[in-house]
Amino acid sequence: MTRLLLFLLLATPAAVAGGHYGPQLADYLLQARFSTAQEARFESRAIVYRLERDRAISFAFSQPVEMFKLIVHPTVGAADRARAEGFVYGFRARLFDGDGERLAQHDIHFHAKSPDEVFASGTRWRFFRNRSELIAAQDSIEIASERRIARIELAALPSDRAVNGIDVRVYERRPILGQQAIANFRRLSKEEQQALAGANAFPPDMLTDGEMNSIALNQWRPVGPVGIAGSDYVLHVVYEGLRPAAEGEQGE
Amino acid sequence: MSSMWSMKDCGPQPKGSKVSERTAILVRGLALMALAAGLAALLYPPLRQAVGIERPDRARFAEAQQLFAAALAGGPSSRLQGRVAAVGLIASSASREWHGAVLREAADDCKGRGTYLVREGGDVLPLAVTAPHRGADRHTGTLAASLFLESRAAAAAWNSAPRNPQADCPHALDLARERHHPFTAFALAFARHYPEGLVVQLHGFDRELRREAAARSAGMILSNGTRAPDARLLDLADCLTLSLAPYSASVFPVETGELGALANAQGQALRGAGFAGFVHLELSAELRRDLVGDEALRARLRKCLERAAR
Repeated sequence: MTRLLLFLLLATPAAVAGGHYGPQLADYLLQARFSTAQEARFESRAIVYRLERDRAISFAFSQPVEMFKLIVHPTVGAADRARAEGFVYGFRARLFDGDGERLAQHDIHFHAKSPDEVFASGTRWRFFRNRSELIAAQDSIEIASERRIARIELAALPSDRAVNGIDVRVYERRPILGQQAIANFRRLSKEEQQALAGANAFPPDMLTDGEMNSIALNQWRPVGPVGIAGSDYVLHVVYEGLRPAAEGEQGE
Repeated sequence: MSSMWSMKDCGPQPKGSKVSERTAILVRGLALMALAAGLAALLYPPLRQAVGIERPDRARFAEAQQLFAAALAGGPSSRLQGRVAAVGLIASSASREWHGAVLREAADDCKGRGTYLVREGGDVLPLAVTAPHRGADRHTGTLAASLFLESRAAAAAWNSAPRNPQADCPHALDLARERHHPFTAFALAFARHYPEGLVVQLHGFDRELRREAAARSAGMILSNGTRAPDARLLDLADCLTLSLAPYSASVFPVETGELGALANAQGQALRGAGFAGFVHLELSAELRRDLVGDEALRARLRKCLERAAR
């Protein structure tokens, strides 16, 4: 009898919580399953480059850099869209100086949540409009070098069998000097200044020159690959949008 | 003793003078308005320079649509002779490069009626490439003509009077604002003939004059003239993004809030007629220059337009 009472004591709130949150979670997952990219509200589009295992893609920076940034995501088929354990995937990055000498090689691995979990747990999701594969969780990494990097080569590594492909975006810091950084910041719209100055305690119109300079200098610029599209590399357009239910919600 | 004055209410008032005073004020006001309007017409350039522009009334607008519908239906240009005169145009056959009809105003007749090309043949694409600001938007006329000649597009059109007055043509008008102009009639006739087709309107923008950073960094800005980009526009945007990289293609209003063509006369008329294939394509100065000089780059743009038109 004591055990029964204890069970009921524990089970009742669990049942209540499940009854309260279960439909909501199920609804999110249902939206993910039946949502179509055509109907989603998107906020931006970006070009991504598909990494290959047997051929590296080369990216050359506008000038040698000490650091660059990569944003990556794996893609999976519809059958794996709700895979609870997610996916492990990896890629190799080789760094070269201006003389072609290899500076370093990094093998990088990430774990990505499934597309449905990304859709259900967050406010933003990424998708292809006209491709059947789905995008799992995105990750980013900044890679630094003591010696300046002129060029990098990226190639996919053996990954989870469920991973269809690995897409990458490459960024370098905008090469802005001195007053140009401040001028660039001032030319942004109020909304853009607000977005960039978000981490600052003061509104954009109260920032000092030094603060504006710092914000503008920290901007990243996308870098395209070397070669000819279609033969040296493959590119796709990724849409980033707000999850439809998230538009009426508050917070992240 | 008779008096012009009579007591009314609490104060003396001259008998009948209140009405005269009001009339005088009204007459003076009307005269001043007329004078102001005349001065505005003399001093305000668009009003002054639009004096010589041909703006058809609704009956002639309907005639223009019928003319273009007949042209799009095909056949020798000679059969259009009876209709073109009513619209103030001249019909001629195309050059050897392509088969079809060219409708334009006389060379020395800068009335702003526009220039229209209609291709004949069974394998034409339901695509119209137009440029309402040829001249003012540098290279858009050249690009419209090149894209038409290098493709199987069914039609092309551009302005014949400049957007700003020139020495050889002092009259000026903005075709993109002209609701009852042959240029709009042409678009409507095309839409009726090709209800699933595509009308692309080429424009040029100066990145330095843009307000938003997104617009300043864009190579192209696309809009369907509304705040709701549809699937067809997004397909075209994606094709241009992939084909013309590193020139970026931004979609109004999602990626930039500028240059959306919401007040575009042809876009509004086409939507009003139930046509969903209007595309407003703004090209940066650098991209226009490169497109004119680079045949391979232009071919990539052309292929995207052709794909969108099918």
